[in-house]
Amino acid sequence: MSSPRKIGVVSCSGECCVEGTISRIATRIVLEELKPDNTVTICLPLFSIGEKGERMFAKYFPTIAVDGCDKRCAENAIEKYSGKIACSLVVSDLLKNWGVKNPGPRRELNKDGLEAATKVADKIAAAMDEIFKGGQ
Amino acid sequence: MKKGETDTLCLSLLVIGDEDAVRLVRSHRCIAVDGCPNECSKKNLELLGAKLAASYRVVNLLREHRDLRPRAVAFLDEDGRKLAGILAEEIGSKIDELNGEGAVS
Repeated sequence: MSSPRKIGVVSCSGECCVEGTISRIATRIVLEELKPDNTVTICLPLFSIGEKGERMFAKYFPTIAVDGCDKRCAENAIEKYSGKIACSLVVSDLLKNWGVKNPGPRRELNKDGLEAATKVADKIAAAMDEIFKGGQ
Repeated sequence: MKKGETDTLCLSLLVIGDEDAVRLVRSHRCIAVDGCPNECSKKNLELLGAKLAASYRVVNLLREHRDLRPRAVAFLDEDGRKLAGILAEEIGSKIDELNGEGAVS
């Protein structure tokens, strides 16, 4: 029996904006509920300071960057050290598209923020399905 | 708790070398709050020549409060909230102590 295929999800670790909180919660929802057998989360700060395991994983497995804002720290870090990412999601863009104006404070999301996090998680899971379909 | 006296900064911005972020940590006193023993915040601040005034490790806090066992990661449970509150109090006291020293930058 072969082990399930894995995809790395690198979430924004940002404290500067609520979109960072949404990125992290959405990533945890994917890891814990939507795709527990296929998801590996990569710690962005650890990756960025040069932890070999994290960088090797991102080099050899498809990776999805979930960034809070358009500075795209996760995407930039992965592409700098481990190669091209398979998919990039920017939460601030998604919220704009969905018309989410007040997702709550950074410390604790409100109802709209939690709904947005769930929708971002669904986007991540859909991106994972696409990657698997594409045979990566 | 310390609104107006503190600001938070994305660690990700620091590690990708964002100029504004680097300038901020070099010109203001910083407190690193790390979740795990890898101490990414502290190490990055040291590497960047920041003014590191204090550092905290949440793993140490867990050892000191073994009665509190947070289970959930995405959404903190009651024990997680208690620990966050304890840590916030400690950081707040440290800020008072630092400001009391008169070395405001």
